[in-house]
Amino acid sequence: MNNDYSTEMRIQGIRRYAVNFSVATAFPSVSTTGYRTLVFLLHSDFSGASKSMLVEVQHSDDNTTFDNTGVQTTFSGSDALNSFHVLVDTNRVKQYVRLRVTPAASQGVSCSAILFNETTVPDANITVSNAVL
Amino acid sequence: MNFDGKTTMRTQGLLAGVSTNTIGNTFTESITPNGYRFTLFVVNEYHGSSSGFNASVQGSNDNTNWTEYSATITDFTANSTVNSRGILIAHESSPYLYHRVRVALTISQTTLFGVSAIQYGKKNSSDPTTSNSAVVQ
Repeated sequence: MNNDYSTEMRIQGIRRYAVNFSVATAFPSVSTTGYRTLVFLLHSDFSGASKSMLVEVQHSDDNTTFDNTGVQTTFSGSDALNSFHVLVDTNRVKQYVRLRVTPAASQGVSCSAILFNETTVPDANITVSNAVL
Repeated sequence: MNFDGKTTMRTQGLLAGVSTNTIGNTFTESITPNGYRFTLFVVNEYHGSSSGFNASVQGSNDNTNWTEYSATITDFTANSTVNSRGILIAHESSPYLYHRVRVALTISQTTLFGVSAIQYGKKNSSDPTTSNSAVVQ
């Protein structure tokens, strides 16, 4: 596979939520079809206090019933912007993958997905990375 | 180079969520290669109705004087969700050491945006370690 830095990667905005203390909130899922690697990028506002959130990786064959992959982690920080990523080998998961976030305090969290290394021709609806230097 | 799917990756927040309806530019913190071959800037933006938002990358060698460096991304079009767009820097072919993102609101419309960078393609084992990550592999 040739790497032209444009067609092998796509970026997909997922959602921003205002999540609440101890309430598990699942982001919309991403289909991994056609890509080898998925990176979830989380932006979280901890607003100057030391906070944390539990992040679980879930997957599904039908985009309806999701199971835990068994991978979870706790991200913590104290800044107004904390950026975290979750790296997923798409060969290890079902077609649809999502994150479920359980915060230790109410805060805003947004999520995007970056899919790397196409294995098939992309569909017509994808958004390709927009500029390459 | 294809992304190797390993943990040779780090993430850094560059601009916290800014909510504004004031027309004008906002600049992120700058970032250097940190021992990685690629930096992917990811701009997240959300707004309620008509869009008037764009982003581009600027380069500098002294972290003071900046040159507009990339095509401007203007297709932040969808409403009431997250629009994520990326700009990829290949550092080995870049003439600049420092990079930052310029984000601009072009119409008065309440807009919330934030910027992060993902760096990957680690060059040496002594370069900065992976941070802020979880891995399914």
